[in-house]
Amino acid sequence: MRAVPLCLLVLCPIPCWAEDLKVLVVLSDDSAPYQSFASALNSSLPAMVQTTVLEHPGQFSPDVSHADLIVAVGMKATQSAIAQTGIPVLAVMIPRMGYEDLLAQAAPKKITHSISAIYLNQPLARRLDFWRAVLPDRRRIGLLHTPDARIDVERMRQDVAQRGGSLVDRQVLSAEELFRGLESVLASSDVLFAIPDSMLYSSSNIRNILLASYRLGVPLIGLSQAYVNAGALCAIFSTPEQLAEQASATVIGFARTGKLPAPQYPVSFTIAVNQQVARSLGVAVPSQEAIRIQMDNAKEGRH
Amino acid sequence: MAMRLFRYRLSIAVLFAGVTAQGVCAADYPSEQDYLQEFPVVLSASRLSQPLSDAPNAMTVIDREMIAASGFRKIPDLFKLVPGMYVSYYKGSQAIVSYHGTSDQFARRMQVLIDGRSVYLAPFSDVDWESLPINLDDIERIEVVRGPSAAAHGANSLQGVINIITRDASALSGTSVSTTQGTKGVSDVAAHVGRRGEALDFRLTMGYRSDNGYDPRTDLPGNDTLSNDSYATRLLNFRANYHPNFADNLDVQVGASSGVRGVGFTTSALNSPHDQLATENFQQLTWQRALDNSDEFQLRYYHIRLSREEATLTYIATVPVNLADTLVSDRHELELQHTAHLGDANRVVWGTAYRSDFVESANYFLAPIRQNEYRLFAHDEWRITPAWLLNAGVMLENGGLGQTDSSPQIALNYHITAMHTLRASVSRAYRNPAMLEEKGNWRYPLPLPLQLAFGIPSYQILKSSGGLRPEGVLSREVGYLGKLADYGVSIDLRIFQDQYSDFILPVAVPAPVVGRIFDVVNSPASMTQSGAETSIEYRLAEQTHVIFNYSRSRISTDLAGFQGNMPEEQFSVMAMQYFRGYSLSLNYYNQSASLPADRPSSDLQPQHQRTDLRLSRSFKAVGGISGDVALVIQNLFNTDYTEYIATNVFDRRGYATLAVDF
Repeated sequence: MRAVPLCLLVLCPIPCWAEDLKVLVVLSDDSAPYQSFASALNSSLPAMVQTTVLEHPGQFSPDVSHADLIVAVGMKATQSAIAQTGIPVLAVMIPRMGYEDLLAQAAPKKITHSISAIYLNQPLARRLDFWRAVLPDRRRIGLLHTPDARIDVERMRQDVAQRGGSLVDRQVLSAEELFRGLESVLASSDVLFAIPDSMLYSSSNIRNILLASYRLGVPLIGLSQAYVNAGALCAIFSTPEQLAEQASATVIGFARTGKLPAPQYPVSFTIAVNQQVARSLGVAVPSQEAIRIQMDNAKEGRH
Repeated sequence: MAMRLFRYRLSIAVLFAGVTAQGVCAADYPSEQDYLQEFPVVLSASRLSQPLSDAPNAMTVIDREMIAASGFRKIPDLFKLVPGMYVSYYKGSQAIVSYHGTSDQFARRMQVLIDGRSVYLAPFSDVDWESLPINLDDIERIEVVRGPSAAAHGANSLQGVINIITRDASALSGTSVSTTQGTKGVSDVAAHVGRRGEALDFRLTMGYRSDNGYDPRTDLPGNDTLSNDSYATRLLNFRANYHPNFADNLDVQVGASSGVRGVGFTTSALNSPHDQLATENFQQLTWQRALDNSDEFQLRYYHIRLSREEATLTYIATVPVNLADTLVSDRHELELQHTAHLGDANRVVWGTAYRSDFVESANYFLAPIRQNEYRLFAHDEWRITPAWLLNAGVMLENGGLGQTDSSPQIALNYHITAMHTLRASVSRAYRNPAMLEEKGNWRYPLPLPLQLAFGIPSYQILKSSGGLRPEGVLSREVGYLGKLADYGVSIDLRIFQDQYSDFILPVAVPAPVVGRIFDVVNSPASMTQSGAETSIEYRLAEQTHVIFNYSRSRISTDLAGFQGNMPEEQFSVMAMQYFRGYSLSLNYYNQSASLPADRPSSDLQPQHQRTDLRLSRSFKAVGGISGDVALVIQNLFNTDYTEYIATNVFDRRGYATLAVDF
């Protein structure tokens, strides 16, 4: 729904362009998600915007700094781009916390050029609205986290309570503790809520997390399509293509005004549901339209 | 020590190498990798159980909660929790589990699978429950399919299927030990060890189970062993799962059991009390490969070897005669299965299997028998619309006795709403004759003086003339599944009619010289069984859970002995209550009168009731040790009912269990 005005922006004639805008797209590496972003960005930008793609931040040097704007894709690219001086940077496909850490680290050096970002992660409010829309009857949210995740549990507890739910949280300090923690959280919750926490939600742990949660009939809300393919009930996320569309609109806006907007969360998002898991757990998942309408209503209700 | 130090250094080196390779981001900052990482397919099609409302048959699921609440120590008893199931005992160690009765000492008409391995064995077409090398605690859940289901579960799924799913290799991390001690010689011990790893998980069970079986009807005070049906079984069960990459999964299972059981009767001259030795072992290997689009490929091999022997010395006209029974049964099976999604609304599971049974027994068969079976199966689940679901399947089978059967099934489920489903189903299924029925030659050689005196070389009990046709059933049913979510109630109702044909029966025929022996024939008589079953479940929050089962059925046939073969009416109630670490369950069973087809009228099982009580308390001790202590009293009101044979009296018994996890 919200994607519409962005599309209009892209399609509108933009008379203030005096000359071509040069954009340098720096990828964190040449893996598929970054490549998808780069090619989607390329195809959604108008011809007047010239793009050059660097497939690795190592290729980045002051020599290529005759660009008007750097679009840094991922943490490594953003780190390299911030380190240079002069050219405005739009960081994309990075989590908000990572972006803020990078800025904090660079702060003593007094960054003079403008920097902004389009985050990869969804705002917590959106993920919680998603949970309520998909599983209105499952009110006890299970949360496992390590200190590394730096999650504000009390804030989240309030947000969950505000939506009529309760939070069952448990901090674990090591992978060994993970399963005892998992079992105790699963025993008293109706849904398990994955968060970005690489010590817990890694490819080596996901198997046992999913098996244990399925055994106890507690579905997992994941962070990406990969989670859903693995066996999570559902996930809400933004694809590289959706992020590229938003980045493209931001680049065009920059061409017009010479300014970058404040950092933003993704505007468009994708909802993925594993229907086989839903059926097996006896969960009746509403249609995509119904979920989006419910989420919109929840958001409106808070404003 | 040096080795440990080296490993420690190595892991630090690896850690640092990782940090350098991934740059400073991975170590210090939240990274986009949390959102971009790839995962293996964990909940693949074969791991996900089909929801009851989508299944082509009525199904009862017995989960770990019910297993615990039942208070039972032995697997066969669990089937008392299934509407329409008859559970009884020929001996303390010889259970009879039969859906809808129509059974004799060997319950032949149900398929029994453990993780896909058929433990319904060829010589007698029965299951030696006590020899199965699994412990009650190894079970994750049991799905009991009520009705024929050959396309999905293979041969001999005539009246139904018991599908036992054991705990995953990763289900346990740590060690747990338990002991159960009680009256009637109840003495069980078990130890479970499990570990989870990145690419390898495993669990190991060692168990010992024993009791004194039943009390004889002619009970002498304080002398329970007269009935000679005490038993002791030792078992070992191991399961490992190796998942080296995102797509492949290798599941390895091995198990072994060894038991000594009292058999025979004090009142029988030819079957006087003696011991039977039974051993069983199995090996099973399953390879699964996850394909795109949630498709899956699976290859499974297993081997089961069961061996039983017993001997009793008797005197005929003062001549000593050794009556020895020996049996060795070896089964190998290879099965290939492919699950494919044809669009979002259609899923096909198809495959093929080869099974080879080799049976050797000096007293049941003239010569060793090898029987090879081939089968081809396909099952399609098609969501025509969100409300209509069609399950259609067929199995083609060459049972190794020269016949080819095709067992089709079609079921239509209509989801009136997400909470209410109607189902109508028709299926045809076959049971191949057991080796004993087709090729049996059950006899005991006589010593020379008796051979000369009677003019016969052996004491013959059964001689099959062979040429049997498979027994068939045409089953029709309608079902309803409903959930009244506001009241915490769910309902399962089934009305069925099963028409049997070519029913396989032993008949008495004149012996060659004197007396009678048994032959086995296809009966020309028709037999129809019809009835209704319901299961109603009630849940109130986390504290209360009640399950009520009721079944009623009638057999109409002109076949002698089968009219009252099974209890016409059965009902049970399981009520569970949880509070502050305590759990209390009360289980009530009520069964109307029945007389098994192969028993004399003196073995009539009158209508009986039984009430079991279980109280348990979980505890946490120091040092991360936790556990559970439970007390079970079976037949609380001491109703002294009799089992399958009237000499087995089940009176009140009690036992306590202590389980500790660390």
